[in-house]
Amino acid sequence: MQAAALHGTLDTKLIAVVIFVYLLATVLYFCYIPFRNKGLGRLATGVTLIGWIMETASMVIRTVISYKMGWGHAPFTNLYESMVFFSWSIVIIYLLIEWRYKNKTIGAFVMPFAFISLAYTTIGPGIRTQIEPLVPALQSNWLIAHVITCFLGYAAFAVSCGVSIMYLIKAKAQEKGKDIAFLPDLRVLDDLNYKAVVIGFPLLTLGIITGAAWANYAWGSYWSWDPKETWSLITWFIYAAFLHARFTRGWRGKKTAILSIIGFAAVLFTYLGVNLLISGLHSYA
Amino acid sequence: MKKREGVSGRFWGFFTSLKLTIFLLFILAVTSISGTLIMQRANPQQYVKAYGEGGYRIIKTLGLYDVYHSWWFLLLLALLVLNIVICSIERFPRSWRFVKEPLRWPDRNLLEEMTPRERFSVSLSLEETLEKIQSLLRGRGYRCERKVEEGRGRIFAQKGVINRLGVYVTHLSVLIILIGGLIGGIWGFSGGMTIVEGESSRNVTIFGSHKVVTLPFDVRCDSFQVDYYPGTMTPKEYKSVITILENGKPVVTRDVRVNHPLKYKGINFYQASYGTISNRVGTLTLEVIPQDGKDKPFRVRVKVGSQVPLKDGYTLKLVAFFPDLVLGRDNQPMNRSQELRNPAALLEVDKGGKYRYRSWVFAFFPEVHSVKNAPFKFHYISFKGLQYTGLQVSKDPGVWVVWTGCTFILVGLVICFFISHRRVWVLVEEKGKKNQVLVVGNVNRNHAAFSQHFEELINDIKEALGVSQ
Ligand code: HEM
Repeated sequence: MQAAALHGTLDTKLIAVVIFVYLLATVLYFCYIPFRNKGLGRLATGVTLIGWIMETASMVIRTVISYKMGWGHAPFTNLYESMVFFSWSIVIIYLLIEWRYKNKTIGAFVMPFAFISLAYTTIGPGIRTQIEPLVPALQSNWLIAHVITCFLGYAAFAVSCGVSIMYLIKAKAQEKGKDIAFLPDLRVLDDLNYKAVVIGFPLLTLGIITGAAWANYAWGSYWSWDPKETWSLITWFIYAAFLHARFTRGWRGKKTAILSIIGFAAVLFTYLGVNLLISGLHSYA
Repeated sequence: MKKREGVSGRFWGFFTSLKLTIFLLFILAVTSISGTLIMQRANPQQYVKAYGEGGYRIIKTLGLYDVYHSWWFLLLLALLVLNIVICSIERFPRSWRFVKEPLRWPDRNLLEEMTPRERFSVSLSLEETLEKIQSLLRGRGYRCERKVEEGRGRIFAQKGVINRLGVYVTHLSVLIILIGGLIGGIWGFSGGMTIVEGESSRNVTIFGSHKVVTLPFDVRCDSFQVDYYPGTMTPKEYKSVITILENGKPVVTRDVRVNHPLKYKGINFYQASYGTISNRVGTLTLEVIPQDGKDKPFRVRVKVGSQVPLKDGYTLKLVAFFPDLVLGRDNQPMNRSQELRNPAALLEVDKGGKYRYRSWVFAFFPEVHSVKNAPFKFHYISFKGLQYTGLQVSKDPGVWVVWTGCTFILVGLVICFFISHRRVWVLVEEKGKKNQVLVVGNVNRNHAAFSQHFEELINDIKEALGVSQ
């Protein structure tokens, strides 16, 4: 554990605890799969919910501290804060989908994303956990709308990626004549994959639009083919291809599952790869 | 889809194919990557330096120096547009029929084949049965039509028929956004202008070329200012006070800050950069520390090129000021930038009009003194140069078209994804003393949710009609 997390403000200490809560939730969801024990399932959901509430509290506390320091802003402005928000979004979108579609098995394949995203804040290179003042370009309500919509979209895509991985594992086993009975039906997984993308796609679209509106206010051009913008468009093209693939015979199931994994890889590259490998207007560093 | 013959038929068939759509979207995604890996719009020397002569030749031939405006990228977009237009023309009539001529009274045989469906009998009158079912459906947001014939009655109810058009709204929006981009590309411009405090200009230098656009009015920078967060070096705000002058008369004065542009006559001014013209003009504040051990330190302010008295007949002259000092090739002092990144001043101390010595003062290296045993030490306190502001200036008459497209694409997506076209047909037939009721439902997407909805609907109908479940 990084020293800053131990010596940091209350909000970062809370996050250090939430990391372990999400790890526990992941383990519980994995245990739930083979046993299908109702109590275990409820426990997994409960632990996840508690973690999420703590994470929410951490974000609120961080905002309050930032106001007390005199440069009040919502906690969406550097890499650390965005990763916290990323995991927060994944958990809330996941919980909604679990509640709506009454399926707890996908938790085992989605919660790891929330856990990894948070855990990365303590081990990732150059991640600063301090609350920092905002440079003028970041002082924009469009930016807040942009971050929230993008990350909720990313979270939905994380769910679709988790579901697609389950699909491929199950389909592979069935090809070999075996069945992994504890994973949901292929039809159910295919459907959930589509439903997650249906939530993610409009959010990503809105995210790109609010980002364009922000750029228009800050730089006088709504689109300048900056690497981050371009990668978000690449992601958008991939998921648009996904949506159309479902209307084409022979594309459902395996091919769309692969498309949605490629799509999520593009999401991760848009979010992290661009900052780490290519520099542009967006670099958080 | 109908099979079409001949060349035009094959052309048509090619562009109505969804496989082409998937292919185009995928190729657009893959080729877009190149522009994020290769420098865009740099000059030839930079490419040669980074990729060699051969690499530059490839980049030039394929237009990779400006991928998103290259002929092949635009061709891909044009194909996508053609794909959307032709596909929409092909499919729209069929979708429009759902709106214009809905299947209100299908054959009984057809109804018997559809699912989900439910059949039961009631002892209420025909009229009453129809009335109760219809009001229930209305309560659920269905639009209903009723038809009563000899010995039987029918209801046709539907909602969300707009879902059939959502796809066209979405696709049309893509076209609108592209048209907006095209308008901006043809009739818009984007460039920059730098204005020194107190001066005005009407020339905008276009980015990526050396063209200059002359504005039909003057832009004056009254002042420029940077505010910092207390106790930090993080800027909190960049602010230019800008006045627009028409024929020399001021018409608008406004603060232009980052994220708060000024718009005048369709032209937008954004706070983009700033700097200090320090070597020409400006005032330096110094702390003077006499070395005789008697007098206390004091402060003086001196302008570039001018003199101030110190004490005991000594005078101080500010020979030159460097806001960002570096040593050039032949060890000559020069500026790396116009910002106060490494301020340094060259001072001359005279006595009684006679030259005594010269000394450098560095803001960030206060203990460096180039003259030993001098009567004074100097510490840099601050420098106030004449600032200039850098404004980005752009005109984009297509931007409203783009925002319109963006709004509609969101509306279209919501219609596509979160509304489904639900239809319910009810057939009530007199059978002896009782009435036979047949309820049939149909939906065009999200069948699982509709099955549940239909089940609840049937339960409610039965309850309303007093039928035991
Ligand atoms: C960037 C461009 C495009 C976007 C954002 C887009 C978006 C969409 C969306 C959101 C849907 C609804 C999918 C669903 O309900 O699951 C859809 C369906 C469809 N799109 Fe596109 N589309 C694009 C390009 C195209 C192109 C080039 C074609 C050319 C043929 C096309 C043809 C269709 C067709 C035929 C459907 C299915 C309509 C139906 O039967 O319900 N789309 N599109």
